[in-house]
Amino acid sequence: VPAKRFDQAKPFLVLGLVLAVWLIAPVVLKRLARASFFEAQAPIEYAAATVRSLQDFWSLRSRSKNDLIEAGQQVSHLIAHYETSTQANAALRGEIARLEELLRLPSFPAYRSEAARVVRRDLNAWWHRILIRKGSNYGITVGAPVIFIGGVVGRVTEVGAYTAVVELISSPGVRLAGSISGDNRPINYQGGNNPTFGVARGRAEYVPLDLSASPAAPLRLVTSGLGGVFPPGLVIGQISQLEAGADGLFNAGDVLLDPRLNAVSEVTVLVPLKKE
Amino acid sequence: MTSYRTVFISFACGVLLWTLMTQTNHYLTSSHLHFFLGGLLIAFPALRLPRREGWRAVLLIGLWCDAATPVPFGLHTLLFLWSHATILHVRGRFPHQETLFGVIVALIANAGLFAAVTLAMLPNNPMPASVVPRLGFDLVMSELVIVVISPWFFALHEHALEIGGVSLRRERRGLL
Repeated sequence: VPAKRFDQAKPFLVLGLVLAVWLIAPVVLKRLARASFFEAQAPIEYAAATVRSLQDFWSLRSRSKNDLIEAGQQVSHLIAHYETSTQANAALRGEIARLEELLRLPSFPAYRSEAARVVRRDLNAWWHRILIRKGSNYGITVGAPVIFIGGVVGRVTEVGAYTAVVELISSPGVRLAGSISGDNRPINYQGGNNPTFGVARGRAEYVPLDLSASPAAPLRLVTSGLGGVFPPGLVIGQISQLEAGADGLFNAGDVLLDPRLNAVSEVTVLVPLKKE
Repeated sequence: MTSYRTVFISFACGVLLWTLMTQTNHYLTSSHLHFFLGGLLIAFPALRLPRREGWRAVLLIGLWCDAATPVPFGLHTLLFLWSHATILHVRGRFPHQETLFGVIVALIANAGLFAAVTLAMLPNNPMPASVVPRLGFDLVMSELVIVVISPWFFALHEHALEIGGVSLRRERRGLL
């Protein structure tokens, strides 16, 4: 009977032994194990993303020539518009540099833009992350800000050899410094809980009492540039309602994020050019 | 040699299910819906495989899941091994070769693992109360998915082992 009891308890003894070994195992060993499994997953993710790209390609191939001609015309209009914007940007950059020199202001940190495709989106009640198809092979670093057509996406939290993980701003617990467009007072933004079939949202805290928002006249929340991660002026979301905070000294309200964030497929990583 | 082959095939089946799960979740992100199938990943190794092979397969699957998620490294591994040990402890008293019993075990294990991961991640959430409806909906949907795909996954696992030259029936009879 004792032998049978021991046999029944054996799985738990082995589990206890594994736990003990795990607790005393060096951190280097754990990191090595994690990195090995992480890199082993990259080819699978990459293959799945390539299959999706092929599907898109063949679905586009089925479009008629008229559709393609129309799309080409739209693209050429956009290119013309962007060329004008590029020239205006160059003039404005020159003006900023001149003023910085004249007033002896510190320059904004410089970034290099690295466009990347999203390999996998992983958004659940615990975390919101995406995996992108570029990693240390393109010089991407941990902490680099990530943006897309609708504004801020998040920041890089993990970098592999060929892939990188980005934590989204909709992720619960993410905090960043923001301000209302046209107002330089800092506001705290925090990622929120996203309901099923609902719109991605976060929470704005420490909003000055003199600011008000309504669905008809929402406030535009942008990055403030404080904290050193995100450049100033990038769109975070819209505040459509404000209520008095718990302390009565500030307002607080929900921030509606761009709905395209949940289905993002292309992002741009802003790789810092110089380390501070 | 058969032992390592059993572990490898079982691990490969787990990776296949994990890949299908992540790809499905990728497409569901715009609906804010997420499937968690951790219970199904460990149900077959715990119910059908010999103790040692099942343990090794579950260990590898746990490490695989840990590497893909932002949880403390080892959390999935520990939870999977704990579930494996618990199922092993009780499996002799039940018809563990039956698919229906396998589905029930997968459902219970999945709910337990989901709750454990939630408890581990809840301190990171600034508004834990407001996430409960979302968690409940995700869990119900995950359990429904498990009911639907478990028979297929068990059959796939068993056939993969047969193709790999591992017969669980013969092993039970002590012929190998």
